[in-house]
Amino acid sequence: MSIRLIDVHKAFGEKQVLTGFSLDIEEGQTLSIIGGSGVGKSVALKHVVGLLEPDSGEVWVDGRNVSVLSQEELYELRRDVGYVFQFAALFDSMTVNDNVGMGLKRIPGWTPARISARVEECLHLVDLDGYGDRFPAELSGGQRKRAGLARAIATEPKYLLYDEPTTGLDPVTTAVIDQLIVRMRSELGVTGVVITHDMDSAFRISDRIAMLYDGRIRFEGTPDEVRGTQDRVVRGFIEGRPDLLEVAS
Amino acid sequence: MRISLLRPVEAVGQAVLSAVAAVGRAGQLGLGAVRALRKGSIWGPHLLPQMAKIGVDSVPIALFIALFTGVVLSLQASYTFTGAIPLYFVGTLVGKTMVLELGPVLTGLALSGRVGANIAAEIGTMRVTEQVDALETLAYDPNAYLVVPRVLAGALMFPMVVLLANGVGVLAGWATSLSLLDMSSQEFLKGLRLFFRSWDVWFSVIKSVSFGITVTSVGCFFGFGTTGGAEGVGRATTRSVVVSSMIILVLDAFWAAVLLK
Amino acid sequence: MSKGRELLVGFVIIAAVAVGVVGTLWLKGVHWGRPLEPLQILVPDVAQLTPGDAVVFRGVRIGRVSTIQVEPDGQAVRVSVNLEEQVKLPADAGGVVAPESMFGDWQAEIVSRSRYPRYHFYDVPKVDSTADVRVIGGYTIPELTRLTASAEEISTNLANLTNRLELAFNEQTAQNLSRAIDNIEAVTREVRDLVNREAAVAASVTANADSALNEIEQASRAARVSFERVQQLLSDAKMDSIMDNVQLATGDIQKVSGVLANSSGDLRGTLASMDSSFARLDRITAQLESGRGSLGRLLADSTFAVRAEGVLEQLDLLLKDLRENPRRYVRLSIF
Ligand SMILES: Nc1ncnc2c1ncn2[C@@H]1O[C@H](COP(=O)(O)OP(=O)(O)O)[C@@H](O)[C@H]1O
Ligand SMILES: [Mg+2]
Repeated sequence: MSIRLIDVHKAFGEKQVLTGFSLDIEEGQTLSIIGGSGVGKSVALKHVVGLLEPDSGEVWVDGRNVSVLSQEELYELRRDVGYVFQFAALFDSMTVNDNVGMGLKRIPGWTPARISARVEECLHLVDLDGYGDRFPAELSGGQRKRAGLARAIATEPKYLLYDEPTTGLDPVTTAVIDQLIVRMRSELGVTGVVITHDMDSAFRISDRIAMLYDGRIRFEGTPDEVRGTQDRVVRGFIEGRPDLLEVAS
Repeated sequence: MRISLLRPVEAVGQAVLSAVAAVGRAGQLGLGAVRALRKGSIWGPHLLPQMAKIGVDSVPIALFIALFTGVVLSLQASYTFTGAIPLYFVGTLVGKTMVLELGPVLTGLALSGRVGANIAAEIGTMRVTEQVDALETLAYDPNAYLVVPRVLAGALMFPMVVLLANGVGVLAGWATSLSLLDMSSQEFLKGLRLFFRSWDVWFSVIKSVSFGITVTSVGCFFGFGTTGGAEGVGRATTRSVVVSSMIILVLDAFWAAVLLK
Repeated sequence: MSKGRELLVGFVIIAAVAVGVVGTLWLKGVHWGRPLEPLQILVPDVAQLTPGDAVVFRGVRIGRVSTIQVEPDGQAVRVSVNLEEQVKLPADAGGVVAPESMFGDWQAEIVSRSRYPRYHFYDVPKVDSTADVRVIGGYTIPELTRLTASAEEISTNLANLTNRLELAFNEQTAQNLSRAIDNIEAVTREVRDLVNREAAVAASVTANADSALNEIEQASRAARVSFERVQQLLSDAKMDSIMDNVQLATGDIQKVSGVLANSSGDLRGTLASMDSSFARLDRITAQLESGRGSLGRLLADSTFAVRAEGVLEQLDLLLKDLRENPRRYVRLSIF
């Protein structure tokens, strides 16, 4: 099963954010979406779990058309999807343990003991051992991000959506997170979508890379294809050359 | 030229559209909350904490207000009645006014600040920091998780707080009439009992239930509608207090017209 | 969520419900444990009596009104009361529904009917009196009556009231009234003097004079009745019928004076003055009637009633004298 976005249009008021966004993510693959700030990467990702509804176009996840699902079916679908928010979005009234355990509590049959064991496991995976009793406000930005990641993977979802999981992290932690994303795919067969600005990590973790530009996918291909592309916009972005971007538009 | 001429028309149109949209969103929220009532497993664990937060924590301020209201009512009544009307009517006025009007309304207004603003700020912050979205992705219906326990707690606890406030207000009026007005307990009680109907207490309870639902759901509504960071949260909080205070006063008149015929 | 917070929630709820329930019951004056004695009062109407109002016996509050229901046949209202005290009520007990104070709170008083012969207690049907619950007839006092009855208590307010009523019942009316009374007094004095002067003459009584006497007597009786009712007014608000009676009486007296005018020339002058005084009385009556709101003043002015009483007494004496000593009036038969 896969994730498909077909000709998605989305505007907020006057502002057109997505204008004919189409993207296919094959099952078991990890795709990275790159693009400048504010082009609508997060908006595109939110469509996948029905946090936003397309003005037109279709979003298919796991063989289901997200925008026509009933509320119950949508929640059903979301149990299979983990979402790592750009700014972690931890519940600040709860400890890290409770945050990570939130999704697990919704699974029938899970005892508190089993939940806390799994929570500990997930915190270990993101290198946050011993931070379980802290509140989000007592964590650094990077720690918060990792706690958010732990929360997303806790329920062992089939799909993982990462919104800038490594932005603002130190290189070591970035490497840890990248490894985690790779392991998710290779060991658990997770289908992943990663939004990132970090081209190094994009090349490391991705099966495919897509660039969002001007409301739609400008380019899509394997890391090698991206490296070899002659598209000025893509090259301008990955090489960090605004001059190329300006000429293109 | 054409544009500048049409601008007022456009503004009116936009205002109407946004009002209709707001009503629509409110309806959606209401429907969502009613549907979310089924999801007891989500809101159940949060009901009691919310009852504590909305109800118990509001008791001190409500009683403080009631205390002084009772004192003032008593003094003003005696001031007004001097000569023409027997003093025991101070008891009548304190009892009636406290239970029928000031107990529920002053408590409701005070709590629209304390409780409604708190809810709007809390949910607004959760909204702008994507915690509401996070709830969605974790398969928690935000209506069930956030709205239902708060509105239920408001509906259950407001009347409790108001009953206590009524009691304290009347007692304060009584104490005042004894200590400052040179009345006897018998006189005060005679007046208090004179026109007392148990329906008055029910009226007070019905009113405060409606105020509790109003304050909490308006807080939730503006909290959910928050956009634009910290400033947006501030805006949502202010609007929530203003709107729920207005609705309380309108409801107050409505109940008086409907129930006190 | 700590245990302490949960306890607090429970405590607040219990305290609030307790305040609501206990407060309500306490203010309603519910008595716990003590058995209640039911009693029912049938009255034509209840005025402003409502459930919860006091039931009073010999000035002591002994219970409360529990329910008020119109009888199925629509002819009366059944007031059910619960008596908290075990009291032996009089055999001829009746219920008097009346205001407790003039501020709108009412009560049902249980009285011995013999003490209030003028009240028309509701007749309890036979079927009812055999029921388990004792059913007594009641009488509802019209509100205005109680208003005047407690006139002393509220004299300050009444002063205000009368000020406002001055328009309808002004000084002139009062003067007219007292002048009329003076006139009647003068007339009766004159009649008596006349009679005394003529007493020496003896002759047989003519049929003419006889019928005149009878009619005077009747008129006087009617007048007396109406003035008696003026007194009753202090506790009874049937002003309209009283006014009618007064008018009837004055009408009668006028007729009588007509007859007398025919039969006695010497009396003519006297009767003419009588006539004018009656006419004046008539005008006052009309004025009173038109200014119905001023009845309070009339009732409060007890001197009127007292003086009227005195006049009637004299008239009565005169008539008695006429009857007993017809010969003293023989002069009348000469014409
Ligand atoms: N809920 C929203 N309401 C209005 N505008 C929004 C909303 N979400 C995103 N936007 C706008 O859409 C654009 C794309 O945002 P986003 O997807 O967050 O950018 P990025 O690619 O950096 O993730 C931005 O201009 C943002 O202001
Ligand atoms: Mg983003």
